[in-house]
Amino acid sequence: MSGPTPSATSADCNLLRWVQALVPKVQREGWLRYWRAELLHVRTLRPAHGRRDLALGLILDAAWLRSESLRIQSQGDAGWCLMLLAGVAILAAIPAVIIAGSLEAFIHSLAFWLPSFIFGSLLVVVASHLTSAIPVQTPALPLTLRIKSCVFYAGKIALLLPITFLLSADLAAPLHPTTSFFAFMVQSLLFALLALVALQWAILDGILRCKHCLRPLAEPIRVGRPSHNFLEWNGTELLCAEGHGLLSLPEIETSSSQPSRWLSQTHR
Amino acid sequence: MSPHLSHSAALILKAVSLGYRFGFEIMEATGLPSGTVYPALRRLERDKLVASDWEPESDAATRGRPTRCYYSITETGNAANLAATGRYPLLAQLLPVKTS
Repeated sequence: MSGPTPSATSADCNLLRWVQALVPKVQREGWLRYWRAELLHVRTLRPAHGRRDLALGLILDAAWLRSESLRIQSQGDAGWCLMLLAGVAILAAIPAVIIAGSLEAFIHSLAFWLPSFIFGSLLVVVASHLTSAIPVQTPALPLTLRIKSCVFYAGKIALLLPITFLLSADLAAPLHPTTSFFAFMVQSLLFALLALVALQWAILDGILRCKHCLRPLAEPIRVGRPSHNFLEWNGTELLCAEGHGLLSLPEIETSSSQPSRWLSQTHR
Repeated sequence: MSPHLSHSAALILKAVSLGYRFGFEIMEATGLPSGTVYPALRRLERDKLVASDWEPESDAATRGRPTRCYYSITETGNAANLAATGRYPLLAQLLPVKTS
C-alpha cells in the first residue's frame, strides 16, 4: 500500500501547539514529530479512538520531559545546593520554634543568642580556614567566575552557621530546665563542633566542584600506582561532566610531588 | 543490578520484549491509558531499558504513513524483564503474543 502521507488535522495541530510550550526547546522538534505520528496512527489505525484518548499521554509526556530537564539542570548545581541548605535551615528552625512556644518567643530568644552566635561563628570560620590545608593550584579565572565562586561559598557559610547553631540549640534544649549555664556550655560546644565539621565540608565541597559551572565533579579515576608512592605521582582525577576541566588530586601531598591542581579546558 | 520496576512499567517492558514497538501499539496491547504508557516509555528509555529509533523514511512512505518511532528492548532491559517476570509471574499472561 502506498500513497501520500496523511497530514495532521487542525485540531491535532492546535493541541500540539498548546502543549509544545511545555517541552524543552531542544527536544521540541523531535517531540512534535513523535506526536504527529502517534496522533495520525490513532486516526488511521483506530478511528474509533478519539484524539482525547491520547491527549492525556501527550500532555503528561511533555510535562515529563520538562520535569526531567529541570531535574538534570538543577542536579547538584550551586543554586540547588543553596536551596537545599535553606530547606535544612527551615527544618532545623522548626523544633526551636516549637520549644520556644511561639515564633515571637523564638525571635526574642535569637536576640539573646546573637552575641554568642557571632563570636562563635567568627572563631569557627577562622579556625576552619587555618586548619584546612588542601590548596588547589588554579589558573587565573575570569573575574565573574571568581565572584560567582565566592558568592556561592559565602552563601554556603551563611546558611551552614545558622543551621549548626539551630541544631545545637535543638540538641541542648532538653538541658535548659536543669541549669541554664550548663546548657549554654553544652550548646556552645556542640555549635563549635558541628560548625567546624560543616565548614570543613563547605571547603571540601568547593574544591570538588567545577571552577566554571560549580557543579560537583564526577567520574573519579585513579591514576598511577599506589605502590610507587615515592617514585612517581599517583592520585585521583575528577572530571567536570560539562567538560570544563579536571581536578587532579595527589594521593599524598609532599613538597616534591605536584600539588592538587585544576586543569581548565575552556580558559587557559 | 536490575532496577526495580512498577507493575505497569514491567508490563510495558514485557510488551516491548514481545515485539510491540510503538507507543500506540503498546498502549493497545497493555490496555494501559496513554498517560501511563508514554511517560513510562520515556523513563524506560532514560534508564536504558529500551532504545528508540525512527523507522526509515522510505518504509513509512511506501506504506503512506508518517515515520514511526520504534522501541526495542536493550540487554539491560532483557535482564530487567526477566527479573520482573520473576517478581510478577502473571505478567506474560496479561499480554497477547504479537502475531505480525
